[in-house]
Amino acid sequence: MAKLREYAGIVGAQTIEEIETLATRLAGKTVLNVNSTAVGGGVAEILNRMVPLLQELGIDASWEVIKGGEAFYAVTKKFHNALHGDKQDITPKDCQVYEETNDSNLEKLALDADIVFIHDPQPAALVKKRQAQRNRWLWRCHIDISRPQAEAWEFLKPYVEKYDAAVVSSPAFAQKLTIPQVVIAPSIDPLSDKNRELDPALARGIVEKLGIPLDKPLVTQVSRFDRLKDPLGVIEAFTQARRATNARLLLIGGSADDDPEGAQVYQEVLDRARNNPDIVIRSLPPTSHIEINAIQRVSTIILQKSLREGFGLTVAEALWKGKPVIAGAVGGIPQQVIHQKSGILVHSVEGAAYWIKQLLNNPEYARKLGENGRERVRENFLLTRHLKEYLLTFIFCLRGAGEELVRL
Amino acid sequence: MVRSHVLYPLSYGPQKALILHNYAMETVTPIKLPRAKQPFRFFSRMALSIATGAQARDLPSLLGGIRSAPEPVIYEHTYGFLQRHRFLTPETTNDFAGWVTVVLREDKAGERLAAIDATRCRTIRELRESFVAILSRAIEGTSPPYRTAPEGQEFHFMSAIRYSLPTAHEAWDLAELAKALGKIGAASLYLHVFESMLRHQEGRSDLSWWVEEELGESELARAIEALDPAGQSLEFLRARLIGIVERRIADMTRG
Repeated sequence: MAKLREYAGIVGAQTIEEIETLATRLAGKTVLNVNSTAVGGGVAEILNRMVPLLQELGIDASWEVIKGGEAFYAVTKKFHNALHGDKQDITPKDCQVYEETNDSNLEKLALDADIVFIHDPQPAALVKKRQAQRNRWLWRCHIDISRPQAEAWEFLKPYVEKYDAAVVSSPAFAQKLTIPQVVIAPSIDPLSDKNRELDPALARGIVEKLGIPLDKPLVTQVSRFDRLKDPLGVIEAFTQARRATNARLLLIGGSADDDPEGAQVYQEVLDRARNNPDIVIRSLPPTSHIEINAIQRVSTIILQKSLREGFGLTVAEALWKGKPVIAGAVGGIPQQVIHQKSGILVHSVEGAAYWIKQLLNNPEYARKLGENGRERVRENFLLTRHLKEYLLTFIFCLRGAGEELVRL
Repeated sequence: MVRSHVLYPLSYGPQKALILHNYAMETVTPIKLPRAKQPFRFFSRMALSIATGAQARDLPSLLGGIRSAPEPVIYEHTYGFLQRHRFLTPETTNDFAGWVTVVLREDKAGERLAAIDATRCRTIRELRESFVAILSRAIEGTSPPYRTAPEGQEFHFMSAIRYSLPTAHEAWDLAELAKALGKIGAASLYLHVFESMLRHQEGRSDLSWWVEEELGESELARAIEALDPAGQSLEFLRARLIGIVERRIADMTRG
């Protein structure tokens, strides 16, 4: 795993120096991260990199994953969709399952770190047993809660307000809360297997090994098989665009441990694509980082036609590789993609189809979008910026609110 | 007592921008550069963005929000906006102008808002009044209904908590200054060249104050104050600033 100093070639030695100096203000502090899955999805990916870097900086950081049964993950998936704004039938029994699982985890976890950093709604109720003033609690919300279903949010909100602060990915996700809400966009790791530079021949070899033909331009969506990523809409958009272009659609996905709907959606996608030889679908294990990297690099266009999105890290990944991206204007995607400057934002299947044709037919314009996109990611969405803001948040949390200008 | 420092040709780190603007000093005769009584100590500026929950959907609600916002909110959308553009050239000068132009498509008001030079306002209050004046005029010239942002594209007022952190970099003379400017973070550069104008309130920045008061370099101080962060990335500004300092050193070297 890359050491912090190795990022200097990408973000500049000054940035690394700033982070190191900042971290001296937190030396020896304990930070416990808690989430609901060790693999799959953006949260686990970020923690996999963030925790070792915090440790390297002299902060005693650790990471625990809560344990829950199928019923718990079915409930939290419902919560997840409801918080994203999808209507769900949330029953008292669901709430009971959620609370019982959190209670059973409370017995197993030592939550006595200086900062307890809870990620997403699944373990949010762990805060119920916090002892006031003994340590600081942060809730990191990685999903778009700008228009939540009321029942789900009203259930969760009392727990959230027991924290010292919340961290959201976009100002649009902020809610009316009695606690401060820090805005921190997530990030990608430019030196991880998923994003590091790959020799083009090696990338092609990896993709061919997966049985993906490279005889036509690839229009690719990399996303777990989830209705909110609209894989069926992607097939429809490609089918419309396909009449005027000669390309191949590639849908690459997988599912996370905490997503019980994945297999069902995958089957629906297979059924819809049946009999179309220009649509290739692959479900890859969550550890297929190099493969994803290679697929993104050999693709001509990357799609992320989400209907709802937390932040949509796959967009940043594609932009970092200099690829033109066509993405749904939802969640954190408009923060990453400035329409017609660093990518294309769409609001419909027809819009996606139109821009697939446009970019396939205008490679020079597509290239420029990709170049701008890469610089936008360098400036805003790399791990080093994220790390620095987490350190500032820990300092903010430990000092308490009320200061506008702080000399450290 | 004015201390002196022996000057030799400078070398910098690997930054492309610096290499492009490294004015090589043809005269390599060592000279004694005036030294300051007090060194210039560089601090780093970092900021944490805080959501306020306040939103605007049209010109009147933007005006209302700007009028009632605490000063850190105005800071975040102006100074904070420019500070975030290290590599990319900002297309406007503040978040308000960008939103009014792109989302509300009020081009005339957007242009006027973009023309406000935050670094020339002596105080945040003065800066706020500039925005209020332009928006009030735009609203007076428009009949309701006002253009409204589509759902999901509202303007979100943000606040900022600013942190200052000492760095290991300091300069006692112009040669050390040029060298340090190549090593400090972009946010540190922004703090000492632009944001500090708010503190001095005389159109001077930390850096222009120091070169004038400590080194007696009035002309150089004016050149630093004339730098404009609008339409330029911080890395570009860094290269320009180093160029200005190096040129002055070269002039002194030639005698």
